[in-house]
Amino acid sequence: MKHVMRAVTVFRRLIIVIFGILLIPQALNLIPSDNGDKANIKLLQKDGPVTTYVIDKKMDMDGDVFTAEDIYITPKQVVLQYSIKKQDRNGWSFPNTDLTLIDSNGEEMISHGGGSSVRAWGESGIMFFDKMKDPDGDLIIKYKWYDREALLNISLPKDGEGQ
Amino acid sequence: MRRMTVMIVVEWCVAILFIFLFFSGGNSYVGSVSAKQAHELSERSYHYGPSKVVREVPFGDDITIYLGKYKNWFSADTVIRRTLGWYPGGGVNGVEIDHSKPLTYSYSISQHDKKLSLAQFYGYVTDSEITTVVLNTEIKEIEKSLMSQVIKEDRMFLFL
Repeated sequence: MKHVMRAVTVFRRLIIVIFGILLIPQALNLIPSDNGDKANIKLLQKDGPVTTYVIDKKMDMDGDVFTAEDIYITPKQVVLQYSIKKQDRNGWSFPNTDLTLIDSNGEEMISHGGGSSVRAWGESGIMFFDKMKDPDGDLIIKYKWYDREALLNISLPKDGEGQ
Repeated sequence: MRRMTVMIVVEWCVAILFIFLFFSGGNSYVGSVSAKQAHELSERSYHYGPSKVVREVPFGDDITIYLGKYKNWFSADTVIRRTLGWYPGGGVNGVEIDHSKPLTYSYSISQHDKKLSLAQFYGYVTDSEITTVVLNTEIKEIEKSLMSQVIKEDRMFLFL
């Protein structure tokens, strides 16, 4: 009986140790780490004054939830910060080339880079676009991917209404 | 004795909680239970499809290719079995069918492990008069081979 008890104890503690170790990466993913994003946004100040607009607009993408978080406008570029909450693990990462920005003249703005990082719930990312031709105009986020298509209207408050 | 019982109960609770947390998602170790599920996950997470699977082609025990058509695109979504289940393995992206050409094709070569490098040539035949597609391969002018496939109703082909 004593041997059985000991074996059960060893088994139980093994479970705790093994699964504890396996859970470490998940636990680390839960720690909010916006360092990369923050550093990128700090770099924008090199361009001159940065206007930040909190957007927080959501869009469904096949069950995943895309959120346009913030838009930063500098004299040299427009930066979109987004996140995507994914329903599946082990799936493909979000192809952000399916996103473009359209300015108030209806023209697609040229993207010149971006990046994303994996989070516990999905991904967060950043995209850089050319500067706005019409600084007073609004923007549209256009999503086009195979037969999926959606537009997200972004109205940018004027004259210092922005945050 | 009572203290020990409390310890045991607490330890069991922690053990069960850990197991629950591990399997309740959020981990990327455990794959899908079946190849089909991994294929569906692959397309869903890529925001493509769901495509109509015209052929399911197993390659050995650990690789399955889903030759599929979705609207005006075709794909050869490949899923791979590893120790803890099935995972997406490439080829999920749809290739647009060019109706001005007799056939549209695509290919991929992927290294699976030290022993296996898998090349896939796949496509869609638009021209209704084409009944057979032949793939001519030549490796450094030494190894030459001809593979052919009869085109059936689904108009698709896949060479491995």
